[in-house]
Amino acid sequence: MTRILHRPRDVSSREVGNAIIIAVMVLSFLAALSAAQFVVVQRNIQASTYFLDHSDLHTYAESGVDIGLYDLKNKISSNGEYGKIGTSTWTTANDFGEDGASGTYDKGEGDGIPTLGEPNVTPQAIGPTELGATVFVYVADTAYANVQRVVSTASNGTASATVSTYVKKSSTSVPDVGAVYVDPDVALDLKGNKFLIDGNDYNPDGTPGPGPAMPGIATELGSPPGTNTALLLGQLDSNDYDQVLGLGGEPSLAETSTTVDLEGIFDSFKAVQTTTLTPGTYSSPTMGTSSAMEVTYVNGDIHLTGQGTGAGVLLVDGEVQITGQFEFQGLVIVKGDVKLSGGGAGTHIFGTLMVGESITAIDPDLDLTVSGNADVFYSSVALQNVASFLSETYSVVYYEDN
Amino acid sequence: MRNVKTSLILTALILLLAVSTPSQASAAAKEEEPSKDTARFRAAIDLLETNTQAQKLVPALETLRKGFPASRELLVEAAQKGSIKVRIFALQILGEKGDAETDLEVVAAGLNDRRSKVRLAAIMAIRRLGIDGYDAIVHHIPREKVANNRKMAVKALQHWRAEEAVPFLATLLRTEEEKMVRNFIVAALESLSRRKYGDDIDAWAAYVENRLLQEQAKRLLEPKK
Repeated sequence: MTRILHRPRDVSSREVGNAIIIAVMVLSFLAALSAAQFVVVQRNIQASTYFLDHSDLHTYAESGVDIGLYDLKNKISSNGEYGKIGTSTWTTANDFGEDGASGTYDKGEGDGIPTLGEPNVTPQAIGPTELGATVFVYVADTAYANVQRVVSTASNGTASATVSTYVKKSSTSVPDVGAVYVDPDVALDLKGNKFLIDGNDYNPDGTPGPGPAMPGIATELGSPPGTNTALLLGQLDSNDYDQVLGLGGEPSLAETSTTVDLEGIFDSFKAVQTTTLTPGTYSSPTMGTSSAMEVTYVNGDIHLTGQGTGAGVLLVDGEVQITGQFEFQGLVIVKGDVKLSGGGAGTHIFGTLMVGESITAIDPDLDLTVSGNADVFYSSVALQNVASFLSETYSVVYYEDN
Repeated sequence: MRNVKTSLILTALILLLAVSTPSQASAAAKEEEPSKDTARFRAAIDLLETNTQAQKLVPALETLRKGFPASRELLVEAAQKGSIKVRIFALQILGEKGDAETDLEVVAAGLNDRRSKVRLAAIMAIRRLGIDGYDAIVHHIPREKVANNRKMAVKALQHWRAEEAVPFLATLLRTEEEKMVRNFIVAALESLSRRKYGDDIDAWAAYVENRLLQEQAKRLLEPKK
């Protein structure tokens, strides 16, 4: 029995030692586990911070592209390196990569675009100060005409984001063809002495303009050349020859040497419309001013009454009837019929009027009480103002983020 | 005395010769003039045929205009047998300078031309000749395939202030499919009737019916002569 009693005491002493060892091991394990947990949490925090920063930086990189495109369109940079931000002096000779040293073949070396760390790359601060973000944008020509590569990189020391795009330049050119351009199948209903089409150059205020005379009425090149002019002449009353003035005498009629795609021009302006009017009657409308031009699009017939004014481009996919006073500077394109009935001080268009189907001027036999004339004066200045207003547009055709 | 008589006779003969010679010469010149004019007009028509520059076409057109009615015969021939360009110019001058009684038939024949530009020139010429061309225009409009030509034909009715065209135009409004031609029809209807019914076919139909009833009533109420 005694043996039996002593035996547990010996075992207990060994067990105590074991327990201590186990406890130490468990504690060590727990410590290691805690440390691992700590490391994992830290890593997660770092990753989370990185992704949060990267998300913000990606937004700023996209903003860099937008700013670059704005500069390309509006040509604001004083150094002429439009679209470039912090990279205006960078060249491919500086393409050394992140370490800024040649021949190390590190990240960014020889990739054809600026990388942070390369000479002549000067990132510009962007966004809130606490983020510490900077951005630089580079613009390069490509093998394709009117296509440019715009690359924007935003970074803050923790993370960086690059957005690479290809943008296509589109120019909406303003046709310079004369006072009036008509489709060769047009019907000219120009009677009486209450209209004037003048291809001589005028300023929008009615004073003589700086440019050479243009045709009073121009049309598409005939087959054989001259046929379309002759057909227009066949529609003009001999009494009205002196009411179509401009290049080449009275009446001033000519065919354009280049193809004028009336439909295409209409669509290109429609794509950059700034105002849309529903078809109907408008009393004394304002369709832009010389300082704030509008590209006004009407999908149907429009009737202008009262004392209307406008500047820019007026696109009518239908008929336009003007029975009041109307002053417009710029380009008027009417796919259908133009009916000028005058009223007040009359209708005065300075720029170019393009017509698809027919022109009816004031008919003194019908409009006995109508006052004023319907006049279309060619104005190179008014057309240049429109061209400056429209300038170029850039659209992104390829987008990649890194 | 005999010498005096002889000298008087000789003087009289010389005077007679002097007086008669210029008149005979002018008569001969007058005979030559028509052929000279014809040659001039023909040259002008040839120029219209061969040239396409407006500045060269205008003097040729002026020759034919100023020479009217002497140029009429050649213009009629040109309107019937010329190229598209010459036909258009001939119709234009016949419309401007001619009169319905003489020229309407030739001009109206242009409405049957297969080329739309010749038909347009004929419509414009008929409009210039006046309301005597009413029947030709009203008969032509439903057959005309080109919208622009229909517009100008409708405009002719409006230009003539042909109020009798209101029922025809109201019917035309019902059948016309081209929106912009309809605009011309509405403009003509409103101008001729002094009513503002716009594109409302039923309103125009009611107006026409009412108008016909009023005309019938007026006829019935008029005292018989």
